[in-house]
Amino acid sequence: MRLPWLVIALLSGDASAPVARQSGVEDWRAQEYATLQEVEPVVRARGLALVYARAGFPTAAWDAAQRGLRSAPDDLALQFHAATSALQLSEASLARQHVDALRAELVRAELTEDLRSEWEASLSELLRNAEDLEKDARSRDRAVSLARWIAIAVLCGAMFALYRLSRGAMAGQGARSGTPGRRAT
Amino acid sequence: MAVELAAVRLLAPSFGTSLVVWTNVLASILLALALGYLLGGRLAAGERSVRRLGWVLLGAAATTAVAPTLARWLIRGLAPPAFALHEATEVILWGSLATALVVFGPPAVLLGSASPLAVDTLAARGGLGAGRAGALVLCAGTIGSLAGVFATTHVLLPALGLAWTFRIAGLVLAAAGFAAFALSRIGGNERALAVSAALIAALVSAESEPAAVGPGGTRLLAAGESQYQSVRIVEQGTGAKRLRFLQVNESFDSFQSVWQPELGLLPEGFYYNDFALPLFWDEARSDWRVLVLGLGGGTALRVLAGVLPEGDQLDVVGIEIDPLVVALARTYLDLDPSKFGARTRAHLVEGLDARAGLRSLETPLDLILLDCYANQVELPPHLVTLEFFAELEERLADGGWVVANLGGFGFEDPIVASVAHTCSVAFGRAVLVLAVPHARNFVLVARRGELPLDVEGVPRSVAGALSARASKARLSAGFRIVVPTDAGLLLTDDCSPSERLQARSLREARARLIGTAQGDPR
Repeated sequence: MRLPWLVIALLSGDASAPVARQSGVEDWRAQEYATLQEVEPVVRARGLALVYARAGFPTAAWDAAQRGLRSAPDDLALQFHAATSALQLSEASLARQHVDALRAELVRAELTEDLRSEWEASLSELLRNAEDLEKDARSRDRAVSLARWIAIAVLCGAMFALYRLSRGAMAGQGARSGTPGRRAT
Repeated sequence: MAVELAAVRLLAPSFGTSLVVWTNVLASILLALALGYLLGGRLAAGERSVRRLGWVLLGAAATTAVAPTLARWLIRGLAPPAFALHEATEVILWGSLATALVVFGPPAVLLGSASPLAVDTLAARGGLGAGRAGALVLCAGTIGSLAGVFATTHVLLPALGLAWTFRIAGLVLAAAGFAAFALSRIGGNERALAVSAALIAALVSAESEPAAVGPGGTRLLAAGESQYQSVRIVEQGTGAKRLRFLQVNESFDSFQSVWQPELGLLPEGFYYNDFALPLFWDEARSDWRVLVLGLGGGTALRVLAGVLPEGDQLDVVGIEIDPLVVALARTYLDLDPSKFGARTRAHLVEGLDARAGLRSLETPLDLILLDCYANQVELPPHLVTLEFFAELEERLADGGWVVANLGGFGFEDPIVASVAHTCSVAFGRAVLVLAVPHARNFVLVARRGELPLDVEGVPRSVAGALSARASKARLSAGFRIVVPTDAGLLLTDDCSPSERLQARSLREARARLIGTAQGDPR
């Protein structure tokens, strides 16, 4: 069987190279992706995540990366895809989780000096984006929390006022209508 | 009632006008009215009631007039300026409730307390019994509400906008308050105090309108209030790369129409491009009779006119329910039938619901584009039902197409899955769902005839401008085929719980992602 160019790019390229540098797959062609089904699962997961990310399907890229990470949690490219797709999906905590995992794996990985500095550049950009997203998420959580407290406080105040006023009204009615034992307040 | 109607519209730019927002506004006002009735009963004091009525009405006038300013101030703290739609549920629920309680609670309490005071005044001064006095006040209040409802919807909001609707409601209440003061012959000090309070309220309510900046730093070109929604046109970018968006209500990270200077395909990520796929899939057809339901600012029309294959002709009827959308689009989005080229004839119909508009057409159609939304993110329930899709199929010529835009978070999304299933059952054959790259949209394709599927069950590629798009559709994450025998929720005119599905869609999107991360193969 002829190995299509996409698989060649994924297999022959240094799997530890930063994803941004795996330029052989930029001009992907969809019909050739199907043969990825026949290759080793982690390579396939890496390839699928890359294809889906480039095609603009972040949910599918996330799913592919997660499938690959189950058998290869130390895979740098899969951690990268998981983090970028979580960022695209505005999932701050999931993005942060994978950025942290990528950073930890990067410390353990044996890489040349050049590759390490490229990965670190990618990591710092991911980190910046994840922090921005987290900042937005925190401001949203604060706003929701403030709104919830205001609403609950006003509702409690209103219910208390209702209780007091209705008691007063009932007592007033009792006094006017001459009900024994009641006094107007 | 005028305040209630305008209240929902005041919240719309930040929280939308979904059922949740309506419920929060109505609940807040009902609670405040209940409180007001009891308070009014407590304040009622025979001869002195009329003076108290004056003060209560003046207070209601002031709090009504300043409501837009207060709401704007409060919303700054409660609604972050930009967040994605799927993050919106909590913000909408609690933000709209807190704002409604704080902003509309006080005028509603005061208005509620006016009724018992008025009854007491009539009873004490007019010598009427409680029954007759109550009947008169209830009747006058209900007729006032009736007038307020019609004036707000048909005159005040469309002609004067929100801020002036509140100011005018405040003026009417202030006039009633001063009339009560006149009856009670208040002293000089009290009169001065009342006039000062009215002046302060007028000054606060006259605070300058927000700057011409749209969400996310876009430039605001125009904005208006229609009978249906708050509408605005915003622009980003410069020169040939300018994009203009028509947004309604809260906008979040979404829009109703998009415009670029040239006709034709939009940058990747806009679902409108997929509306043109049938023009390329169906090479046998050259004269296209097209109906666009939910024309909006005419984006679909501009895309179709720009990519029309050589030798083909377009005859398009576009239906849009909101005349203000069409009016703004004519000015800012080049929605002008004479600008679509010699091979495109366009007829615009405004002020008509899509389903009613469909029934008014008799000619068989080659392509129906369905792009209708209510409350910005909700598919109108009557436009996703079995009966509606059956009506669409009846209007199609042999081999004719329906292409619909669905918002969702995946093929398993409750909205996407149930609408596709319903359409498939109505057509009695397979339908195709395409995921739009870089977007939260899905495009549903149904045909009165065979779909362009090859033996592997994926769409055939198309040549020309859309070939790159079509090849992405061939990825397994890019399409799904739904057949009538698939399990799924069938939406009918009798039961089309699209709001509930929408809420589930927002809730489940994140759960699916986390489920995948935890090894759930969903």
